[in-house]
Amino acid sequence: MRKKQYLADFEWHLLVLALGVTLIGIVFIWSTTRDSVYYLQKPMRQILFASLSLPVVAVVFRFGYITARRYAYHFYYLVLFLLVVLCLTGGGGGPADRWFDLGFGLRLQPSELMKVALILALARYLMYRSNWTGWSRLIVPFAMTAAPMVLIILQPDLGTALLFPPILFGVLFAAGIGRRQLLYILAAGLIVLPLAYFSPVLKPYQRDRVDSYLQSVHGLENRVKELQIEALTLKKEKEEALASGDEPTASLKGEEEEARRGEASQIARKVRELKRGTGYQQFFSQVSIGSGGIFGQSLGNGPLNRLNYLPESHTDFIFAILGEEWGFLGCVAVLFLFLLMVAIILGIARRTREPFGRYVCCGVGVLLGVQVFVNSAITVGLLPTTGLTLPFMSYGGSSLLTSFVALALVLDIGARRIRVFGF
Amino acid sequence: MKEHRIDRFQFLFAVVAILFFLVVARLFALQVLQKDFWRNEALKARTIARTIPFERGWILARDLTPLAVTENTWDLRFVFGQYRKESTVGQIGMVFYLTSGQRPRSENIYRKPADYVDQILGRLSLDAIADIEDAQKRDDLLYYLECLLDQSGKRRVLRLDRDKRKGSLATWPELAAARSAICRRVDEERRALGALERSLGLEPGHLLEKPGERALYSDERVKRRIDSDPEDRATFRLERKLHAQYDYYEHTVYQKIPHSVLMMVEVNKALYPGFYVVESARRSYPESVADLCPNLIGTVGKPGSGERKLLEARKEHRQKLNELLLVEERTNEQICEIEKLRVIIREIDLNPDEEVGKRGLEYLLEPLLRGKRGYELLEREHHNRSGTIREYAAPLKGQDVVLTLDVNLQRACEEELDRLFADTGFAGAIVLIDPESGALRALATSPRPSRSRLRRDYNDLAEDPSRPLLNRIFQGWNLPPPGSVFKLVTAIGALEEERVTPDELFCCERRIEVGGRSMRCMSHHGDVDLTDALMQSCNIYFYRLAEERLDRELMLRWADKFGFGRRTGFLDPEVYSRRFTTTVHWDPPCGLRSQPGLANLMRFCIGQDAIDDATPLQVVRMVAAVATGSLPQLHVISRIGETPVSLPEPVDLGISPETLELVRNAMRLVVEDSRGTAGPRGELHRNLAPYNVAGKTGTAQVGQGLPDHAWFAGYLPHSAPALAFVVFVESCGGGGGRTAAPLFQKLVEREEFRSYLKEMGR
Repeated sequence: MRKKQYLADFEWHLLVLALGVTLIGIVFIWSTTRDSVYYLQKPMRQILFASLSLPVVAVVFRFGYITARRYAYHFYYLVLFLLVVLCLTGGGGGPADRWFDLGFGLRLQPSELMKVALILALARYLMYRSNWTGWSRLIVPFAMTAAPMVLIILQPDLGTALLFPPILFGVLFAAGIGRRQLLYILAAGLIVLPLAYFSPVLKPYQRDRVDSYLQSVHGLENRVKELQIEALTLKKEKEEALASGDEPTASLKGEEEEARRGEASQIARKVRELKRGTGYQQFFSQVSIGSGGIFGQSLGNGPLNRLNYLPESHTDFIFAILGEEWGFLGCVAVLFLFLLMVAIILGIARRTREPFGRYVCCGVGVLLGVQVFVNSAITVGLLPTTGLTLPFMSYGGSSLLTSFVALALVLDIGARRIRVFGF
Repeated sequence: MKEHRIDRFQFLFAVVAILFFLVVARLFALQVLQKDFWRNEALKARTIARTIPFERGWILARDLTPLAVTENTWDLRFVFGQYRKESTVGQIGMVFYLTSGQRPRSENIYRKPADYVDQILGRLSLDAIADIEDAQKRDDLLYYLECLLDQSGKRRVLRLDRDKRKGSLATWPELAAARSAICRRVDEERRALGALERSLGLEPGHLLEKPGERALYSDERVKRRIDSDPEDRATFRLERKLHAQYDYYEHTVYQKIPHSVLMMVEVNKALYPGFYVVESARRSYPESVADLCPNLIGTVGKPGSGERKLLEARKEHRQKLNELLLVEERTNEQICEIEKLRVIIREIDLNPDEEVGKRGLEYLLEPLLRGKRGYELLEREHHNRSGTIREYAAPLKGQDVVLTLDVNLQRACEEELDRLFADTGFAGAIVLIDPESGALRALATSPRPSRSRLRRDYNDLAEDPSRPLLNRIFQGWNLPPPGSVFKLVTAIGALEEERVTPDELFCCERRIEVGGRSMRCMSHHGDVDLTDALMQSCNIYFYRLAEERLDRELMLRWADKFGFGRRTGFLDPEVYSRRFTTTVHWDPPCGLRSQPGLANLMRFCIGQDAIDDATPLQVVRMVAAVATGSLPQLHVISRIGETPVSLPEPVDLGISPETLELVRNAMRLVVEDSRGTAGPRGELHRNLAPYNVAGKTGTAQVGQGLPDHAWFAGYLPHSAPALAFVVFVESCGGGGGRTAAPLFQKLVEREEFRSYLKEMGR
């Protein structure tokens, strides 16, 4: 009877949506690597990761999220320990500092696991606390978020670290934090962000990325063209003035023309540097997306994709390839699928009366929404570049596993909720 | 309370939805509104347009011997930027440069690698690295150290954390292993470069020094730029940026490497970091004929001030195209104009790195020899130089030009002239033409520069007192009068206008007084008729003729008919041909009071003074006209590509056969009769009679105490002329019969002449 109830309440749509998005991801991983030496290797591995995730999901279902609630702190401390170990042993500063090598070509990225661990720990801490008068209550949740954040920033993996405040925010919000406090936190965040730009935490290359983000290639190119047209009209005016024998005006116009040309060439140089240098990834991801047009350039045939212009195209920038090959319609469709998932997850949170489950759902929903937003915003040039995967779609075992574990928790919460009349 | 909570979830969803909407809005802007811009950017980013150089047309001799060809060669180039990153010695050098600011010379490292490696390992401490202030410099140093040390074995010798300034160094045995591994790699590189040196025939150590030289070059440039920096930013970053620019300049180490070396470098790319081979098409002159009439064939070079106009035209086209491209909405005309300009810029406009003709035929035939550049649009993979071709337009080879020149005759003429110059120091020129068509068979002048000297020391050549740069075929620093050779024209003119009959006699008593001026003959000839006068080249006969029968208009008319004062073809520039004077030397008129200008006329009739400037080309055309009765246009090009060059028909001069017969007979007697000026003379070893030559000698007096020039012009064989010739010896002092005719005899005796005449069926 209980089992029947469980299956009846199980949100099949959510699982189908997640698997669908994963499938789309696999198709695009195939598309990005189909010309390389590792033909089919990456898509096959991704399929392997996806199928490895399913037993983990089954385990979550078997024990239920209540078990997760029991071991939330243990899990959190374990992952935190892993992060500390990584921080102490890591050397060289390469990307190798983000992973544990498990052998067999498998690597574990603790920062990915930390997302789930943090959600669980925060939910566990906040589940029976509802009195939000005063700031002292916030100290522990803030500390719980800040500790892994600092460790991850040190790795350095700014992108993942920046996901933690939204998680905290989401869980606190669900837990019923006061509006005024919320406003204060947001205001503090807005002040801290510009300060962070100048702080030593930000590496030079990260600062360059922010700089190049602030300049749009499209706008600059247009400006160059405008200046050249102005210079041309000035030249004509100068010639007219010369023809009519008005020398002072002519020399004035000539000087202005020179100034315009100088400025134009300066901007053009900047654009060239931007395209080649720090803004490279951002520029090419925008070019990929923009050249896709409305309908895209057909799957597996995006020219920039096939010619490997976009580094990390199968991981962080898979959305750009999506934009190139499926166009505007494809992008909107995929975003819509993600939005639907967020809606279902938040719907489950709303229907769940048990506080831990509600907070976890809320945290996962916010995490999913924010991560998808940040990743796609980076690729379209709305945010500066930081390394961040697109959940369910990007290549990578840890990311996929984390996403599925989080999803399984939500599904389990949804299936085990206490039915309330009227919902 | 419940209602409140529900609001919260909806609020969260709304926030996420708004964020997603932002992304969608941005997507709309990129993919729908700015689609064309980004498509264009994508195209620009992934394609690379390249022009393919055209092959310059060849110049070939009559028998299709190539005189100037275009050769595809391979050049060995060196890029220091790549070398310092990829070669072990380059890495060692960079470690020294980054730690001490000094660069050890590359050849020293090659010689004693162990010393330098020991210095590096001895100095290597984590504190020292951590103490480097500039993060970029530290990163660079670590990069090079890792390159250097970590290739040594499978284990990482160096483990450093770039940011946290900590790490660990390998143990001593590991370092020792690294040391020997580095030395081994340096040794491998040295041996590889040594092998390359040997195959190229360079002196040992030449290539080992190359990286050092290039590093020095780049260092100097960087230093100069930093010193002149207006903002005074002497930072490492600026230095690094400038080095990234200058270190990647391509330097040509060796031109025209043999095929074996090409394979050696291409196959063992890893052994030769920084070295690579590029293909280029270059004008080249086959060795066997390289020094054959270099002043006729001419030279090529990079466009300079002479081509300023063309280069400016190119700039203008570009500017115009850029201006047209700025127009947003174009009319059909503008679109056509843009396409036209693109094609012109791509295919035709002179590029500053192309070769253009500088002198001689290379210069004169420039429009024919130039082809059109090709063009290819490559779609390339990222970081790749090559890619798949998306658009392709083949280059158009310039047209091959086949000359009328006969290589063997040309070589024979040049050898004889060179021998004369070597023996006596006399400069001269020989021109051989086909009298029927006016095709030039040989155009020899001496002294003349060799091609290598022409390239190397032009200035010395220009100041050489023997004036090797003059092409004496149509240039002379003091162009000679035709001398007695011109008497042929006078004789024909007088006969044709019936001013004299062939049998009329004039008495030559060696001396004649005209208007108080004494004029002389070579010897006392007595009573002579026209044939005798021509044969013995009697001046008095022609003086008397001029005094009693001829007038100025008649002489000018006939001189003009025979082409004096006119260009003979396109070879001789107008400046030189037009100097035939009609006014200057009639002034002041000398002669009797009743006949002013008589003395001038008399001198004119024997080809002196008034007819001051005649080029060998004009003289040879004149004798060709005597041989055939019609004046040909001289030409040196028989075919352009596959099309034969059409030339105007020789102008029939309308001379009666009797007149021609008489003059030709006289010319034959000049050579065959013992009294003839070029007749058989034992003491001069002169006997042209067996070769059926008909000719006329000439001695051009220059006056002002300068030695006379010698002429000998004619044709052979006299029964059916196959070759008209002129031999001109500059400032030799001797007459035409004494210097020019024996020179020609030597030429006629040669095998080349016989085979040419046999080929012509004579």
